[in-house]
Amino acid sequence: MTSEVWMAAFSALLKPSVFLYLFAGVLLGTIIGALPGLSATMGIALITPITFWLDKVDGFAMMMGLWNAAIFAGGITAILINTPGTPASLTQSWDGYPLYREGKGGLALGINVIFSFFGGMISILLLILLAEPIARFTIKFGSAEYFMVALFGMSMMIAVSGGDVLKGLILGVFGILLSTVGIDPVLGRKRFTFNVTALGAGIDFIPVMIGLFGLAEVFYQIYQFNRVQHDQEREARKVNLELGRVLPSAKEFFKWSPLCVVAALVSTIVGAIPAAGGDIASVICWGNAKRFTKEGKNYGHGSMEGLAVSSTANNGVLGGAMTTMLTLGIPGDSVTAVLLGSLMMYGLTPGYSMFTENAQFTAQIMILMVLANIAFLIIGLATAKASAKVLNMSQPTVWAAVSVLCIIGTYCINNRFLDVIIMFAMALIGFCLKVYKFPDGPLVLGLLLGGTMEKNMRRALLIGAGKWSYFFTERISCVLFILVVVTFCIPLVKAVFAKKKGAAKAGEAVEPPAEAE
Amino acid sequence: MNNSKKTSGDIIPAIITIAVGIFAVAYIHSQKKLTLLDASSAGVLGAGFYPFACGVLLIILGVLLLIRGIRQHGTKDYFQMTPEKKQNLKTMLLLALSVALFLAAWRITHQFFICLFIYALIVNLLLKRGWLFTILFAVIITAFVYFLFSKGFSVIF
Repeated sequence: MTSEVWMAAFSALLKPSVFLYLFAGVLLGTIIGALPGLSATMGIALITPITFWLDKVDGFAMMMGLWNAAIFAGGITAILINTPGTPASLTQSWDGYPLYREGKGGLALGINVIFSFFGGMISILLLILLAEPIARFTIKFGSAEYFMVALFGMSMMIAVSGGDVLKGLILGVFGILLSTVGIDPVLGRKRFTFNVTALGAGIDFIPVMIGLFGLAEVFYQIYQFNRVQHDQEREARKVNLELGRVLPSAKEFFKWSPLCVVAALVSTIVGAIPAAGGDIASVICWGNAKRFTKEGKNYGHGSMEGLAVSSTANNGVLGGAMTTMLTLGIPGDSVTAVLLGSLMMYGLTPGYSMFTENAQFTAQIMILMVLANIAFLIIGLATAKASAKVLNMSQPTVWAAVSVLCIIGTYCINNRFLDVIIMFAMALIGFCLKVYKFPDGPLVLGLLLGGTMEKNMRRALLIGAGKWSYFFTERISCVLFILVVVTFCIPLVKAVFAKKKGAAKAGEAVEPPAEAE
Repeated sequence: MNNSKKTSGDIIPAIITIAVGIFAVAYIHSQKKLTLLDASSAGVLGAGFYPFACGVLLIILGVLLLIRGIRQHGTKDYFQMTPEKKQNLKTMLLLALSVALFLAAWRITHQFFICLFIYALIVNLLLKRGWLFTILFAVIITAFVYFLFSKGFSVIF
């Protein structure tokens, strides 16, 4: 992308409406992230239907603001009530909460804001620098390669998410089966439409997301509700310990910065791997930093450096997740899955065309990511001490409001009642999946990538005159296939080793009585 | 091992998975146009291939899950019902029922805002909120939806 494209993109963003929606998104994201039980995915899924009524850039400004702010704000609950607001802020509670108990809550909140911004900015810088070269590489891709890329994305999601490969596989295949509903992409024949005209266009992705991550989450939270724990948390909120200063000193900032730069780079790479989100990145960064620094012994007991590393890592994944989404069309996490769905609804296709035909809009998305980081830095620092008040909202109020918004939001996408029925059905299915510990990521990815997989696989077979060997004679496709096999094999090998290790330990435990005999 | 323990592990999801797989395979088999291979040109997959393959895969994976479920011998219990969880499940099911009733009433009467107001009342009562809060919530959420979606975005409910 040339400097002219960047300038044109930036000048097109200089509109009051863009800033209004960006700040509205940041505010909403801060509230959503700070409320335990509400995730960035749920927020994005709920807000997406609203953004379809706005101008494309305004809509994306709101979504970028919400996403970036929700991830940083997850740290607020982690610090103040020892409950991560989002999975990515798990490690922040290990150091943030002890700091709060020591009377350094303000400083912990300040570190969370500043280093989330720090991680986010480095990650976006990498997105800006690397996305186009990666996308350029995809010019060489044909149908076989696109099929293998989609399959690789699916395999990573199944291998990395939930940990239960069999259940992940079942849901991945079920997601692909759902994607076959509607008109067949090659021959134009109807499948699973049952004479319902609206089903001809297939199952819309957004109602499924709202059902799975919105209403199903409400159902599951009601089912899991622990009154004793809830009352304890409410008591903890009433304590209101002294928060103290918010900003770390310049000396402290520069002392932690080199380590945080490394954490940002690592988390960007982790973020680019499908399904390996902020939770995995922050655990990897925090765990390795603990091993390699002098301060390591204090990690987990109120280390400011540990909190800075965790805060950097959780926002550092966002640039990586966007890179794979924009260049390969594979979402790095569930939020980018919704964003990918939105891009497709606007008629945009991820890949090199995003950097040629739609270069200005792609540049605008990246600039909006930067602006969202600046916005949450300002709002986060200005409201650090007041943010504790958000936590006073009761969970039943949130459940009631979310259940209404799920229904209205779904209807608003196409003004279609069938979408609401699909959303409700997916909510019931999603609840059962959560109870039976099925990872829902593969279902989403299966539905999203199923169409791409089928279309490209059938096209590749057409080009290869029906020979399946075509997938292995193409060099890139063959390499991707090996990666898919390796991805599936790693969890199986791990399981075998774990079983052997367990058996050996059990044998050792049995041995002493035998010797005693 | 009692009956509840037999069904508490992976057996039920396995049976559902197999049933979905059989349904997909049977559906493709019953549709003449959805063939596995396209008769018009050699080597081209038909419109039925992909869903058929998914159905077969679901049956195989479902059988594997069923074997795992049987081998769990009732040791895996996803429900672990406590009196509190029983109450929670009841509340959750009532909420799901009220969503279904709201959708049905909206569809039949076409009086969206009245249905929404009543739904908001019922949900808050189910979640054991006070009367005053319940009424305030119902009024605010109905007004919010009316002004933002109906007036602001011109959505016709």
